[in-house]
Amino acid sequence: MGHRKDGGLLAAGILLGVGLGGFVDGILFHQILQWHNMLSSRLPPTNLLAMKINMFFDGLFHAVTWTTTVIGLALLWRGFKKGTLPRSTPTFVGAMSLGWGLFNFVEGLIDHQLFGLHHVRPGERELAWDIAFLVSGLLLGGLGAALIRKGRAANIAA
Amino acid sequence: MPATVAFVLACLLGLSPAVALGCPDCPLARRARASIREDPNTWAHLALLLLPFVVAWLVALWFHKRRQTAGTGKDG
Repeated sequence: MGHRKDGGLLAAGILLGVGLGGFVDGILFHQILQWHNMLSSRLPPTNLLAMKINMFFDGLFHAVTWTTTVIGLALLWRGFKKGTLPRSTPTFVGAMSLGWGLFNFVEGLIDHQLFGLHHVRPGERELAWDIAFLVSGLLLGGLGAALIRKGRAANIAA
Repeated sequence: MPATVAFVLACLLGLSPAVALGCPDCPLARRARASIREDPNTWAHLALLLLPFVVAWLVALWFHKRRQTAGTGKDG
């Protein structure tokens, strides 16, 4: 039983988690539920012009999300081709959860709390929704860290 | 996709704002492009859009360089 470095798998998983989590945000909150758009607290989409500008920034958000996902996939593929990645499901799933949680927490902190570009669900309870988003980031990050530890322990014990 | 984003950003810089938004060249589209181009906060908004991703990329890079040893073998 050999030991391999898991940094590549963690990096790939984190980037894929950031990407897939970003798509959940964009598809669910921006498009299906239409709770917010990228600049909706600075430029409320109350007319077509404001909506088009918000849509443009939503598109840039999705483009960066897509690029992050591609980089994660490329790292994963490169590691598997080289045979340098440990094949641990808990480590990989944990890294993706950590990435998603990291993104929710950092995006929530910067864009919602500090600079108010948008809020999760504007209205009377917007602070509660924003805090719930931050908590979701912490929970996903904690779950990810626990799974990564489990993956390492299982593999070292094997 | 990255090329498209780079192209759009170049357009916003003023090289060719008419193609910054790939939509019909109607008056509303022209107004949208002009609003984005002339808004003094556009670049700040772009920076704030990118900042969470940059933080995540740096964390991923840190893990990649750290490359802590883990066991390998059967799928966990």
